[in-house]
Amino acid sequence: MPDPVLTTSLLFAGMALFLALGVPIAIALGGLSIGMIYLFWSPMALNMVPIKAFSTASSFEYLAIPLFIFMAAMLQRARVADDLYDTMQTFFGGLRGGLAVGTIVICTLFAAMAGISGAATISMGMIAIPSMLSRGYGKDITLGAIAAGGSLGILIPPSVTMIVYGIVANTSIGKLYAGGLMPGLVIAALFCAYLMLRGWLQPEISGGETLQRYGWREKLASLRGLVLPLVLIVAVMGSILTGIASVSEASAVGAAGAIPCAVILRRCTWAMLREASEDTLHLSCMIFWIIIGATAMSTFYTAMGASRLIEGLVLGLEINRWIILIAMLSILFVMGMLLDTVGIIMITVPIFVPIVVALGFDPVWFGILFIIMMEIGFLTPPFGYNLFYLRGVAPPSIRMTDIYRSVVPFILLMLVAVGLCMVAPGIVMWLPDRLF
Amino acid sequence: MLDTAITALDRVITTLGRAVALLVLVIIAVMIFEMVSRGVFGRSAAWAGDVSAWLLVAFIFLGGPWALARGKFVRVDALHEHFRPMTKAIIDSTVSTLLFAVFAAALLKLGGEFALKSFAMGERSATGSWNGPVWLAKAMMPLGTGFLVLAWLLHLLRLWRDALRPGEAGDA
Repeated sequence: MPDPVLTTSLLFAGMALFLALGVPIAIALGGLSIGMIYLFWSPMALNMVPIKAFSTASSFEYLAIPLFIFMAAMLQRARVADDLYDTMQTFFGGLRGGLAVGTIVICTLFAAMAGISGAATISMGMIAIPSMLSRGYGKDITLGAIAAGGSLGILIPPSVTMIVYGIVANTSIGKLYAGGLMPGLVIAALFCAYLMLRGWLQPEISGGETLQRYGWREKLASLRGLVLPLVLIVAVMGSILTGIASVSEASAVGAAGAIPCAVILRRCTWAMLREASEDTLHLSCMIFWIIIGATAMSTFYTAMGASRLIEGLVLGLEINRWIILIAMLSILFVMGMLLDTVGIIMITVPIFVPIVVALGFDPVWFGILFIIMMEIGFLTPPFGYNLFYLRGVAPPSIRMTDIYRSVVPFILLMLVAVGLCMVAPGIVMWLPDRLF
Repeated sequence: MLDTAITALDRVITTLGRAVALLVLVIIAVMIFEMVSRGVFGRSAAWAGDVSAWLLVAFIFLGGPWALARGKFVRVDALHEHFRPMTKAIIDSTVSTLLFAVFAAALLKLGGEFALKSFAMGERSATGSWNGPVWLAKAMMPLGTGFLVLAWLLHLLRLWRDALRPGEAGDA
């Protein structure tokens, strides 16, 4: 077997080149790793590839991914967010910057039902952008609140991203879910505080001088919109966190439960079920094919001892462990600007997690920091899903640069949250320590 | 000629993809059936775990071609989105096609052998006592990869159509 330093550098150089040229991520990772295994290791070793691909696609844990995606697609199409938005309007309409705060609250609730960020971003983009702009909210507050709020979807359980992370890092998905809840709420609170501050300082772009207030009767009547979401949240999150159901079983309950929700809201049609299934297929295939392509790469990592090599190199530096941690998070930040989340997980986790554990950090805690960095990656151009989603649903008067500019303060707030979780690990670990 | 090929390939891939998409509903039904059967009637349906997992294999491998043809295989587009259609067509017909060929060849050949071996020894599911034929699920891998090759071909044909007739595509 040839020199591991050489092959490892060749692997990373090839990967960087092909990804930069714009080869689809799944194909770049799969083709390159299979070629390298063939050339530098042994053609026999390639037999691992179909075995691993099959065990990935048929794993019971991964079943939760399409099911959570389906659940989110159904809730988006059932326009659950419409009713939530009405509720929030009556409660927060009287507050300066209230609709922006309400948007964050809805996104938080949505995040507790859906495991992806797209559902909340698209739903809220369709309802909240026109309504907030017409009610005197500035572009940056409107767009920023929606894009940033939507990204909470992968941090607050359930989360599709955490399933992938948990399996690749060999960390309990249940613990990650429990660990993500508090930081998610902290970030949501930071967003709300910031938006209220902006409302107080700049009323002219936070709903104007005249506010619409609602009476208690209207407020109570509007609570109807909260019933269905709360039932779903309790059913899905409750059953996972109390340990009644496995993550996959809970995802099946959520996916099945989203159908009666749509029926109750009188928005369930065959065409809609079909569209939700087709969306599920596209997004699931995107995720799974990257995983399949990357399993070949992780086989090669292990065979070449690439992770051990890098681990030895990093630990050999003998610098403060916090500096190493911050360097890793910075790498994730940069990769988040360019690459898809699943791709980043598959490339970095097999290398980062052993180092983190060797440095004496808790893997669940690191997982949450990792996921927050991925959330930031959803917002950082040029490659940020939430930016694309917003562009897709925003009116033509909104330019891409408006969207880019709007997310900057929210990215800074999330970095503050990362700092808080580092200074006070209890924010992350309190709930998982209590539950497991 | 080019357009006929594109239309024909598109029809095959789309029909397959739209049918396969509905499998997610079947997966949900099977999992809920198993949970009810275990929770309410106290008897577990041994086949349900295997069937839902195998349906996922079919979902991913037979659905992949449609996702690929619809451009759902994401890329790093920092540079790529600024390339002209001709440059995009050249990159995907050379570098990407080479990598795709290696990837697809491994899944087709080795995945095929993997499934054939399972068929030849009559491999049956080890969980429960329902004896499901494992080769059926494993065969999805080479079969789906075969369709994936067609989808890649469709993708390349479309790229060249856009590159050669820039007027029709409408984007720069």
